[in-house]
This record gives sequence, structure tokens and C-alpha cells, in this order.
Amino acid sequence: MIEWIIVRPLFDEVTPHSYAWCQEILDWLKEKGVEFVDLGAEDATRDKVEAMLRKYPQANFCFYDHGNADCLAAQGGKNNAIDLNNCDLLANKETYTMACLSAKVLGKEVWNKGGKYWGYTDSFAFTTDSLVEFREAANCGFHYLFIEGDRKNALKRAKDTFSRLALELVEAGKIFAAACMRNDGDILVYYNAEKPEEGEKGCLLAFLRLLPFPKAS
Amino acid sequence: MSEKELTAEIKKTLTKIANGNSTWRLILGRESLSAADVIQRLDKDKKLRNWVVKHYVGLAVEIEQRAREKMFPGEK
Repeated sequence: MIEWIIVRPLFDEVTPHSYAWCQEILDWLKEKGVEFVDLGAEDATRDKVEAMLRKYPQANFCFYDHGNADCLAAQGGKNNAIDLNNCDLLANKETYTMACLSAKVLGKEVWNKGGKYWGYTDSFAFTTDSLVEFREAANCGFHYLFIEGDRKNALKRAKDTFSRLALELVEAGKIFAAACMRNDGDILVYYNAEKPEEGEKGCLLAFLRLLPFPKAS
Repeated sequence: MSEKELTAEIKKTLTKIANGNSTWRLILGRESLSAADVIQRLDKDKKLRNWVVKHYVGLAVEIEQRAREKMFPGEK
């Protein structure tokens, strides 16, 4: 049974790094005997992503690379793999992202539809002198959540990991990398472990989800 | 130390990075910046300057806190 749909575009100077980091996620899943679909590079299109999400509605969703507040970019960066028009496909599932900004709007919308969303509320930053450390930071939450199954403490453990790595980078003389690591830990969120901050507009659906549901008599 | 002085120190660090590793890049979202690019941007881009200063100062505070925790483990 397919349990994960993994999407990892590959097209510019930045994506080779995230594409490579995501390979570790695939290796963990393989080791654990978990079946997945790998939509990498040319396969990371909106049509294929939608088709796989419809074909395997029980599968969770993992995305590595460019995003914006309301979308996750498809291969080539001109179209979106996921945005507010098709994010209902992520309802009621786990979404794990390593993408800039997407938790800001898209993640909240997915949470409003009953999904859980791991992501970043601002730009993910890294430096090329510390790629191993940034891979550890980007991937650690996946390990805590889905390999170890620690749903309760995953976000705190991940933020502790970012903090530890930032201080290790300072000790290694890589202060700019440390500043990026600190930023990335600050902007990391997991919607469900923590609710999205109350939005400026307010959301009736989100409010209603907090109310006790009346039981049928 | 003023923000101007701190930014000047950060630029010195970036200059050392640029001299020691010409392939070094800061990836910020979709942008890929060399150390020289970052130095230039620090003058013009207030948002980037504030971002860098915020995290440099934040790291300094965390280093101080960790050192105190090691030195005075029972301190509250």
C-alpha cells in the first residue's frame, strides 16, 4: 500500500540541494519497508501530483523545495504543484514540507480542511558550507514524526535540533550558517501540534473546529 | 555596539568567507547570493540587514545563556 507521495522538483541552482536532502527521507522509508511514490524532477508536475493524490487518497504528502505563502512550486517553477485551488487534496492527511513560506497561508488552509501541516512561515535560508547540517535540520522532523512515531514532541525536538546545530555551527566558525539555522528553527511550525496563530481575518471554520461537536442522540 | 558597527563586523566575516571559499553561497528562498553579493546587499537592503543582525544578536544571547547554564547549573 502506498503510504507516501514524495514530490521533489529539480530545475535551478537551489533545488539540487533539497532534492538530495529528500533522498534521505526515501532511504528511511525504504529501510522501514514503507511504500511510496517518488515524483522527482520532470515528474513533479501539477497533473502528476494531483493524479497520485487522487489515486492514493490514504497516502501522506511530502514536498521538498520552492514554495510561496499560498503554494508549492511544480517542476520548472512556473506552475504550482499545490495551491489554494487544489489543496483540498491534502485534507485529512499529513503534509511534510521543506519549502519557503508555505505554512503562512497554504498550511493554514490545509489545517482548516482537517490536514496536518509541517512547514515554514518565512523563507528557509541555508549556506552551502554546511549542507550536511541543513539536511539534518530539514529532515529531522520527518524522522521524529514518521520513523520514530513521536507525534507529541516532534516539533519541540526539531526546534531543539535547529538550536543545537546553530550553536555547533558557531563553534565551527560558520556564523552565517548558524544565523540561517536559527532563522529556520524560528519559522518552523507544525499545525496540529500547534494551531495556526489566530489570523488577522479570523476564520469561522477554524473557530468551529474548536467547538465540541454535538453527539447524535 | 551600534547596528552600523555590528554590520561592519559582519561584513568583515563575509569578506573572509569570500576570500577563503569562492563557491560559498547564501540561499535565501529562490535567491543564491555570493559573499560579495551579501556584503553589497547589506548596505541597500534594510530587511536583510535587520534579519542578519537579529540572528547574530540572538545567537550571542543563546551562547551566553548556554555558558551560564554550564557554569551555574542550578541558577534560575
